[in-house]
Amino acid sequence: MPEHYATVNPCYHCMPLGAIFAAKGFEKTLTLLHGSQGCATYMRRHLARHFHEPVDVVSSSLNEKDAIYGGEENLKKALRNTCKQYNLQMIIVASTCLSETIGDDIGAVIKDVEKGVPGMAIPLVSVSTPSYQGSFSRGYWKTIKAALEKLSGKSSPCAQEGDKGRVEKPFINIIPGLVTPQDLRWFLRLGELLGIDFHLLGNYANTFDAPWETSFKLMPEGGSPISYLREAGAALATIEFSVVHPEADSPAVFLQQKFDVPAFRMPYPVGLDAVDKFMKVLTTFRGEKIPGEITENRGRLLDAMADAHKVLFAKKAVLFGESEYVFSVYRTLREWGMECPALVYGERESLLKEEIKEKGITFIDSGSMFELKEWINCNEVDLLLGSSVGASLSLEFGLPLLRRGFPIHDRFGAGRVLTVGYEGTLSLIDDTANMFAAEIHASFRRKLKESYLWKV
Amino acid sequence: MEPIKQAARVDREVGKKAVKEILSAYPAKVAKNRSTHIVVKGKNKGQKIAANTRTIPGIITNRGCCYAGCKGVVIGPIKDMVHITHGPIGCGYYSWATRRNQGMTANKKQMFLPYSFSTDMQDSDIVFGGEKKLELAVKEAYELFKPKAISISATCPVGLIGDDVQAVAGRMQKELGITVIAMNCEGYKGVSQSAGHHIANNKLFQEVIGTEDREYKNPFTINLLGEYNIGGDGWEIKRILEELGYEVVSFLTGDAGVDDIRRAHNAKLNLVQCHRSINYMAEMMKKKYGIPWLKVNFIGVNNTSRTLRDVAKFFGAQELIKRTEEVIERERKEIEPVIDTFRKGIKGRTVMLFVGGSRSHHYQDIFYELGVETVMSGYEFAHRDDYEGRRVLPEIKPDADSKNIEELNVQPDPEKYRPVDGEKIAGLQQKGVPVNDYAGLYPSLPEGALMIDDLNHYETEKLIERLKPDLFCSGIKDKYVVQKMGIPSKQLHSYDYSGPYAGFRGAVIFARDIYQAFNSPSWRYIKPPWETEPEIVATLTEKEKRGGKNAGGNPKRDNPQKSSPD
Repeated sequence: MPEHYATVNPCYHCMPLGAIFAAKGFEKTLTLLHGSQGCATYMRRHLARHFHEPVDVVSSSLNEKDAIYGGEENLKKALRNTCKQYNLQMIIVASTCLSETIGDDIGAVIKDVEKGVPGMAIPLVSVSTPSYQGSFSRGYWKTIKAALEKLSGKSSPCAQEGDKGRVEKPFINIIPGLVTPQDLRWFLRLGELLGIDFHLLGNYANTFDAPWETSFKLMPEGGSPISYLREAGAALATIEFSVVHPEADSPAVFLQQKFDVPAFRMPYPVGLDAVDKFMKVLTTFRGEKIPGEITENRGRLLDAMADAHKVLFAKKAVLFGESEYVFSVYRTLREWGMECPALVYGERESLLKEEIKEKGITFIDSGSMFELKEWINCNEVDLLLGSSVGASLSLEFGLPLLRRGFPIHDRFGAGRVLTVGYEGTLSLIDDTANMFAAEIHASFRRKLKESYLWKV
Repeated sequence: MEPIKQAARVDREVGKKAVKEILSAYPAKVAKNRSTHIVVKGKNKGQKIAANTRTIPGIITNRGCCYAGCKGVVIGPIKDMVHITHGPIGCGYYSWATRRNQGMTANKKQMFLPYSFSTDMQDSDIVFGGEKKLELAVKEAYELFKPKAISISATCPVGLIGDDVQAVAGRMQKELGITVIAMNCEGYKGVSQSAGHHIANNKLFQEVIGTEDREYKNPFTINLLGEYNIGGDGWEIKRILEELGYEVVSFLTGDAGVDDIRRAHNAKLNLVQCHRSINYMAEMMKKKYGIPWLKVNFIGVNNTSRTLRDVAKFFGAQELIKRTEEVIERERKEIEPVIDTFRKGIKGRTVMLFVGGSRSHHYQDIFYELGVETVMSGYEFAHRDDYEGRRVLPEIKPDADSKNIEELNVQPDPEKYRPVDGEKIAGLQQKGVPVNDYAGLYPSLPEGALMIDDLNHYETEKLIERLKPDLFCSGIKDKYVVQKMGIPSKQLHSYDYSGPYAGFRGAVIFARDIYQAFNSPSWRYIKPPWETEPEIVATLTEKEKRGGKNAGGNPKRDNPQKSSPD
């Protein structure tokens, strides 16, 4: 392929967007983007269009004067005004390309504000997220880590006794990554089934997918309590769904180093093998057999794999989106005998190439869907699988597009798609197989005629 | 423009009380600032509003940035120009086809609206400069697409690290032999996207308009400025204008081709739809080429009709005036019965409008036609002249922010300046044809209604609670907040993927969409039967007996009968 200097039609986003994703997981928490107000406006719109939900993000609204003389005063004002309007429990202050290039010292401002403003009792977490240093998934991981660095301790009642063995209510930290609200509900239900207390860091199930309620709330209910961050060091373990993201940004590794909490870095529990491994890890904490409901679902997935193999085997799917999700779906599709000849993702920091040992795969790591188009021009493809940025290629090449990942801007219900667990994998295999089934039933007779009758 | 007949008076006291409550929650300084941006329309004319000032940090605004106004609004819709965003990936992504500007080119390969082209700056570009990368990206864009023109839009870091995008554009224009324009529209410039509009206007005026001359046989040549073909609005307008015998030389910039824009100065009249984003261009073309401009409004049946009559009056040809009447009559006959049917399920309700820098005005009139009263109308990024009319322009003092945006010194072109007779203009103005003038939103706002600038998130929620509108029209950032409050919300930026709403046929689609918003049965199921309060059941039944008028609307509050203005 020719060398490219520009990214045309990207399938990845900028870093502060990940910070918003992370902040949305905590109770009464807002993200304050320190930069031009356009960033907040663009990202609010981008998220609202995906989730069909309101998304509040505050900005320090820097202008030209601040760009020259520094925007720290604006940041202070923004923090004060935000606190006055909302009854908050935490603010994530994320930097942008603008404030990073100016060189504003957000940490110093926060210290100042925390000291100088009475009533500013809530934690202010600073995270550096200039878009030119990484993608939205990096922004997510960095933000969770920054929040833990600031707040985590061993402050749970059990930990104070200094003996994990006598913990009355043991729990596991789960850092879910960029999944769907439905996925988060699945994790919580799983915890109930297994009798393990899962502390999701964080939980945007409700904040990104709130039900209609008869009384309107200024801030959506839900999100994990901030205490989950404070007591994270007392957990039995941390499970984080991050394999291709560098360890340097890993919150789980941080907790291991600081508090000796064992870290499990695993792929998203998508696909039989990944879910099995996730369950296996969970059984080590539970010490009992996996409940029947779960093994039944595993059985259903096997059943579905057997049923669908006839339409899935050797089909070629191109995957694009967040590299961690691409990795999980790649592993899953390979379990079904499908091929994934090209993978597109934009995170320069991603280790996807290193993790996938298979030969003959094209990695488009600029996240450019245009490069993918060039590739499709000279290669055979049966399916596009990824976010709605694949829509124009789908139309152009007449290829089916299975919408998964972020963003999905041209369909409804993005927050309610279950992607994890045996059940999420079931929905993936059914949806994938049905893409091909639809094609078979619509064209089988025509193809038969073309091949056998008209040729004669 | 003569104001449309005012709708029934809304209760002034309710608005005043709501405003008081809102301001009381702010720190004193903020309250003082915000109070100047809020007007409760009274009997006295000449109420002032503060606008186009800095956003208060930490207050959730709907405003975007300079880049959004430049690349996203004005430059982006030019369909056969490759638009390169010079910056990290986010800006280019978020401004990618999100405004639903429609376009079509004869040669499919010269259609670039579906593309987002970014230099995707990385750390090293910030440290060592991104000019080289930009240059390579421009070359690459040329190699890949062979476009007629390329635009470069700068994002926040570009200005700070000192990349000279103008120099790159100059070099590339020379080397590639095509038009390459660069805009220094870094996000932090100005106070909102409005600054970006101005920068884009300046650039197109300096480098594109007037670069190709053409003689038109048709005596009725026009440009349509400030129409971005969102949801196909421009195409419906074009259908009507062409049927009347006008030749649209160029659109700025919906469905616009670069070559059309080059020839725009050959037209006899500029029609201005969105005053905010394009008035700079209209004024500059008037000064340099002598082309007058006319404020038009193609939203709503009455406004479209009046606009067509105004344009015909400008050209003054009897045949044209007659044809205009015929077409208006025929078109209205075709659509009015359908609109009337929808109106029955719409009228008697109230709406809050908070859109753009011109749209709230355009839409408060079409709502009036449908029997819906505007209780609040506001803009995100407008200036005082968009509210109060251009007569206040001399009063507006430039401040530190507006001074940063270049005001071009435009002189008449020695060869191409063809002014229209001053007496003719004055005569038209006397007849109420808004040539070279705009009266703003204020005149057609009902008395008692609120006029608010840069409404923020908190104010939106408070006002909805207090004013209890039946519909809220804004963008996607507010939409779901409002719907969670039990009030239907219509996006007037993207039209909720519907449209066109302009012209005659568009008015039907708009009426249908508003009808849907009020009458979807889904709203009736909000309260589960196990929580039903007996009195609400009674109210609903009463209303359903009266023809199901309030079957939609807002279940969270009483819905008193309102007098219908028709």
